[in-house]
Amino acid sequence: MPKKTKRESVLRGAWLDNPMLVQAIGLTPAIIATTSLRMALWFSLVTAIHLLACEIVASLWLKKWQSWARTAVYFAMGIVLAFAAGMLFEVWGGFVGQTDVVNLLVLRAILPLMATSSIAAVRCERFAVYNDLRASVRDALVNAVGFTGVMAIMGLLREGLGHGSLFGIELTETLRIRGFWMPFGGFLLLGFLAAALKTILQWTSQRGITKDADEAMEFAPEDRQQRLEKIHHLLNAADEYEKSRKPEDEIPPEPQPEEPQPEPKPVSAVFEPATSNFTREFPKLDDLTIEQLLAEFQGGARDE
Amino acid sequence: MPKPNQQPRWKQRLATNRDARRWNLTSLALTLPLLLLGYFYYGVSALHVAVVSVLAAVLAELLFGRIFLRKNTVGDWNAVVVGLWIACMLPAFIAPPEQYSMLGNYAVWYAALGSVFAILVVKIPFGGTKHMPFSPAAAGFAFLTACFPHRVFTFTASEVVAPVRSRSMALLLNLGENAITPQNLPRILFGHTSGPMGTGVILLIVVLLVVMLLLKSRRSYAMTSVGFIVAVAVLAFFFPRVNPGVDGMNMGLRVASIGMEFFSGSLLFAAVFLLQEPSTLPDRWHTRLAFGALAGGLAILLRRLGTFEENVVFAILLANAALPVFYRLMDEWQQQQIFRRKKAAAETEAADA
Repeated sequence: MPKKTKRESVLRGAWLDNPMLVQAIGLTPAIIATTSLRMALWFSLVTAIHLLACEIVASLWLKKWQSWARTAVYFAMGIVLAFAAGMLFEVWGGFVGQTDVVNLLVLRAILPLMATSSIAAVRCERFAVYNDLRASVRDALVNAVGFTGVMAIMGLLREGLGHGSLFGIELTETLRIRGFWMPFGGFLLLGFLAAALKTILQWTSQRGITKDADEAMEFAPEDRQQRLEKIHHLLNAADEYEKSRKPEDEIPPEPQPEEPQPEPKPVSAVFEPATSNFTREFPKLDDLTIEQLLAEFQGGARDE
Repeated sequence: MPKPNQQPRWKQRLATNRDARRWNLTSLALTLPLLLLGYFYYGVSALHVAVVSVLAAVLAELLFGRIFLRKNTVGDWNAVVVGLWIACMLPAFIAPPEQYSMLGNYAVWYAALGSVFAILVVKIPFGGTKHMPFSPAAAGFAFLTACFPHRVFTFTASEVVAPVRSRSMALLLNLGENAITPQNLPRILFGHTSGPMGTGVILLIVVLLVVMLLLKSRRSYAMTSVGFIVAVAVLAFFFPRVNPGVDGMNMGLRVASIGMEFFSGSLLFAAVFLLQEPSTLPDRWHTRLAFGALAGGLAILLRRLGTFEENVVFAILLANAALPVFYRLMDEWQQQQIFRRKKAAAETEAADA
């Protein structure tokens, strides 16, 4: 597998594999938090800190833990962080005025949701536990940048169009489309932003600026590695099972009524190569692409 | 799989652009009488709202169809119909100044906004008239309901005839009041009520439904409306919303409750027009009947539980979202039929042998 450069990794994390628009993770708290720009930025900051802390911990100490135990650690860290952030926002958050107090209350209500936000768990499980500290920190930062960018755009549009204000300062009283402020408006906006991202990628790929959009948005390299490992594990398990089968486990064939024997065919027509994929040796994992491995595995399943 | 033109008529939907154009022109012809009566009752402001709504829908389709679909889809007339239906469900004027002007009438702007939303969000992203999973007019009005609930349900009395009561029928029903009396009934049927500009003339809408049932090309679609109406009538009879009063609930009040459900808001209009969007319906007439009944049940449920004065458009959108379930049921039913047929044939062969 060709190694990705730093520039490609950054581009992929923040743009091609944007956590909200492409991976579609952490959506629900984000939809609630983007009713105002200030709230969206604060929430993004806390999420970024949570993500960074989780990826560092996962990369350094949690690689040999069970998956469920790691997830519990991410949630515990999220709870601690949400509690601390809620306390800090009250003092230093800059939430003054009646609307801001409501926003602060909403923010404090949704911060615990961040503890169970899937963004930290997904990035740690997909990336941090398979990579070193430096790569994990970079992944956390680029994903946080991608997340914050989308949150800022949504906060700007939803507060501006839905409430007619910006950073709590009222701009207009007439242009207030309440739908943008409501959750369905947030989801619609998110869908249109995702479509816009896809369109931009297609436009740039048609002009040779980036790679083919479909190829670029297929899935991340860490997913590829994880999928390869899962498939390899499955194939090994099937191989072990095939070897451990005893003759008495096999169901005896039903007695068939005797049929008249056909005339013997020439040897070349009778010979057939072995069809079981589970009895032959596999090539090394690194030599195969995922498409080849999948094709072999599916072919073997069909033969069985 | 047979081609669409080889399928029986009751199973056909909009297969070609010509079919879509014919369908929409028929819908337009059936809707125009309602608009004319709106003009008769509310004057030129009704025409202003309708024209601006249609223009906004057509311009949005021209622009966004060219950008996203890269083709001109205005020729199927669907944008005109969507704009007209949204206008029919709105009041003729909202907060007009003392000296009436078209731009001072908020209903004009709301109609344009609803039409643009319907085309931009519900129609174009899904591929146009033949592919949209939700009724765009229902979605456009639902958007307006969610965004401006206090404006789109602010009805003004007709200029020609005074309404039966100063409040709208939907509001009266929400309060549990019964406005139907033998003296009032003819006036209610002819639309002398406070309400949307194009959905109040109950008698005309019923006549249009009968026309649809008589038209061969619309009959199976109109079965959806029949299912809807039957479901609403049954549920309104068993779960009336009219307050029983001191005498308790009797048969007369139950029947009056059915009448109030149908005569209030845009329920009948939505059942006859919005629900029959071809791309949002199942294939067979009996499944369409069941689909209409589901939408009717949802309409009654949302009218009881919803916070807005009129919730029927949300019921239609929910029913549209449930369409894949209908397809799944239809597929399973067809598979069972095939299996039974094969099994019977095998048994016959075995018996013969």
